[in-house]
Amino acid sequence: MGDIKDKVAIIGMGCTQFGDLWNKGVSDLIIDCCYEAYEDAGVGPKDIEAVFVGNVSSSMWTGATVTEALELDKIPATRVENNCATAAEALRVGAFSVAAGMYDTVLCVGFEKLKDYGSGALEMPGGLHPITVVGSAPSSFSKSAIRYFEQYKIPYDKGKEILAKIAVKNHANGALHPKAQFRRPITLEQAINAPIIAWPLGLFDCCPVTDGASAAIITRADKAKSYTQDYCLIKGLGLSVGRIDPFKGKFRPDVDITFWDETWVAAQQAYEQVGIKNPRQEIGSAEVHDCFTITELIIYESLGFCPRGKGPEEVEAESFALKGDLPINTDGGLKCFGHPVGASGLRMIYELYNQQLGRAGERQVKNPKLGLAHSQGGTPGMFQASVTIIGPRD
Amino acid sequence: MVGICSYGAYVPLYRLTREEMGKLMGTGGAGERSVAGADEDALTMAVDAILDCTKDIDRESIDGLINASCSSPFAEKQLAAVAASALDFGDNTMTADVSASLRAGTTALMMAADAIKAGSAKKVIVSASDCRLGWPTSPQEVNMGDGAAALLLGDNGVIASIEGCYTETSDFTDLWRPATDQFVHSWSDRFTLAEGYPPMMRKAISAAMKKFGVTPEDITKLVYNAPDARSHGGVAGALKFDAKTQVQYPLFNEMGNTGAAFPLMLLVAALEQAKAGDTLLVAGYGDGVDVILLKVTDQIEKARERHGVLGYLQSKKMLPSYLKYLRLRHLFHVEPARYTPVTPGLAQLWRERDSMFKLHASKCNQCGWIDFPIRRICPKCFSKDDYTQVKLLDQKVTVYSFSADTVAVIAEVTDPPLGRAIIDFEGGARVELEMTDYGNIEDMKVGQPMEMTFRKLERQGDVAAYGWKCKPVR
Repeated sequence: MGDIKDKVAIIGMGCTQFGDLWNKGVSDLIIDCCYEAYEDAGVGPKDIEAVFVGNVSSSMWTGATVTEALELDKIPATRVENNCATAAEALRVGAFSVAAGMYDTVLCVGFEKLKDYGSGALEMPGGLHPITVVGSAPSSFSKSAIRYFEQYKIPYDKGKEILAKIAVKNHANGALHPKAQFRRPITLEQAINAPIIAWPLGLFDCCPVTDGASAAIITRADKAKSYTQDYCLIKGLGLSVGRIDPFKGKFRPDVDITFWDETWVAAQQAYEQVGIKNPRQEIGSAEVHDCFTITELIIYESLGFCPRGKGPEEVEAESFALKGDLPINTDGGLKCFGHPVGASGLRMIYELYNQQLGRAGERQVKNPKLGLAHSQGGTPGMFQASVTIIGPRD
Repeated sequence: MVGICSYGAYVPLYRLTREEMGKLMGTGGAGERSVAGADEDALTMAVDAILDCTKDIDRESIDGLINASCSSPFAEKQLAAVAASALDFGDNTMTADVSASLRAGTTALMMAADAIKAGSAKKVIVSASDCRLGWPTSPQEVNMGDGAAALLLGDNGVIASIEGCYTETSDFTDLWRPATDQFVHSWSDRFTLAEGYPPMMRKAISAAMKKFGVTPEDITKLVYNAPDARSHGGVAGALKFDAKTQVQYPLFNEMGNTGAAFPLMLLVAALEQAKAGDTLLVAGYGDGVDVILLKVTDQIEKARERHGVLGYLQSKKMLPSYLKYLRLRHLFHVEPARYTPVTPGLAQLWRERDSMFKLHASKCNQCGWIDFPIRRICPKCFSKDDYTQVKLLDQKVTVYSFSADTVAVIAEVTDPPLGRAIIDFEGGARVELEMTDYGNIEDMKVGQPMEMTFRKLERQGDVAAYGWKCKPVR
């Protein structure tokens, strides 16, 4: 495997307000985040040579949704889709196109407009058999919580408390971000006693459904300084896609749903590219795919931030809080910042980028070192896991 | 010797007291009735009864399936053919629906016996299943129950031989359901009980006993359906049977009148309690009367490992209110989900039937790895298109993990929250599917035994879809 380290620079980023954006259409979201990125990078529409578009279910076809909104005429535009890792995928393939020398300056955009449909969750793709087209995302992940509690002999009440602490941490962080969907802290009691969504997961164990968009402008590392002095470098890009499909009833007895195998593999790819030996020490802050609290708990272990089964101890020690030794989801994560599926991956990079450049305000971590973004699409048994590591300019 | 070789039954989990049913109108009644779940109907209950009846029996060796029901979900399309497919009967199975009469069950039993006597079949399953609707708040609704029975007939390993059959037909009308209505209609019982059930049953059973050359003293148990408990008691008295010892207990207060399934369910209950040498006289009333004389053999002890009617009646969950009954029967409208259901279409359901409908897994011919659904490329050794289909349906099942989902509500077939489970078949396949009848989710335990049950799935356009779910062992 080749590596991408230090070949591509992120020179500008933008992110819309996340939330129930009743008065913003898809084009508005795209325009808002891309013009923030233009301004940040000091580029204009004429500088963009190609566009990579990430979207799951809010546009008909192709990347033209973005070129149409931005009046970018007759340039290459490619739409990518990798479930919840879609925006990370737009950045990944955009970075490869730059590293390959095809383009100098590329726009990567992720967007999702979920709230127009009146549904509580994502629409399911077609072609699934009714024997298995059942259940929401919370009920897919709740089964991992049941197994995790069972495997590590965690009593139900204790398990609920551990998960609730993760939600409390993410709300505390998100309350500090002006663009987060929810801007209020919650208490442990609130989280534990919230109504059950999919047993044993309650309301605050689940991320919301959100409208939002996020964008990055990338260029060749050696050309970055010609635009701006404030930029970051892409250090590593990992991607791992599983081959089980629970949506077809498919499950295998050799798959352990208390660990995210695909995330482990994607992380190892990225760590190898960057030369990371001890991620707990070398990563300064991380944005991870906390679609549910149990997901974040298992992510700690699957990214190698702590040994298997030790996640609950780290939660109790507040290791991953804003003041902890490895702050995780400093912007509130999916739980509090919101989860517009096709935009979340770039929203994570947006937070890491701001941490790297010292722009994170009240959320600023002392030593951002390397930033890690982790997206995980799919469901236990079949993930599309993406790990993106960025770091400071030379 | 032609007779019954195995028996089975299905009674849904839910019960509702007649006191609770009567609260709305200030009426009431004694005991309780069985109520099918939101994802159950006559088809699904028939399949579960056949599953019970054919425990440890190779269903591919059965060459006929006749189902009796007055409440098939289809006006045109055969219930028996769907059941035969789901249960993996052979392609040459003779299948038929006998319908539209409350004695359809006993009639199907006689037809199956005749087919075996004639030599055109060796083994025939008779199932009888009903999930009828009385008009809301009507005495019929209160009186009815939901359930199914299945009997395997053959001429080898007979547990109860058929010693005689007798039929009287009549166009007498007391209950009827026009093809355009979902509710059963009834006429004043001042007339129907004077001219219908009591005199017809007396006459037919008397004539049958005369034909068979038996008297009440020769009969261990008289087994028969009735519109209600009072009419039921009257028949035995008039025919000089001892009501205390010679009449099969009719389960009105535990289950209710299960329509075409009723006489056969009472027969299954009788067989559950019978001993070798017993003589059973079975009568089915509706558009006339069928009467069948059975002699229990010493093989009866070989067919004991069944849920049966009495076994299923012991596991139950009480419904909290009449409103819940109305909800389970879809008798009021709920707001539809605000999303467009995804419909895979009949072509996909058809081509995926071996996996998704019959629950076949693939077993790699090279390395033995078992996978569900059927997979063309082995995930372990990558051999391509080199597998044997294996059946999961009769394997033991335990639960690997589970959830109860309050977000996903499929209004037509779910009583929320919707259960989901990942289950392990003892042969090595792991499958994720729906979990039904699980009671309280807090009581579920990882590793607990489960069993398969055939249920309605989310409707595909105007096509009712069916398939397998799991439920805790009852």
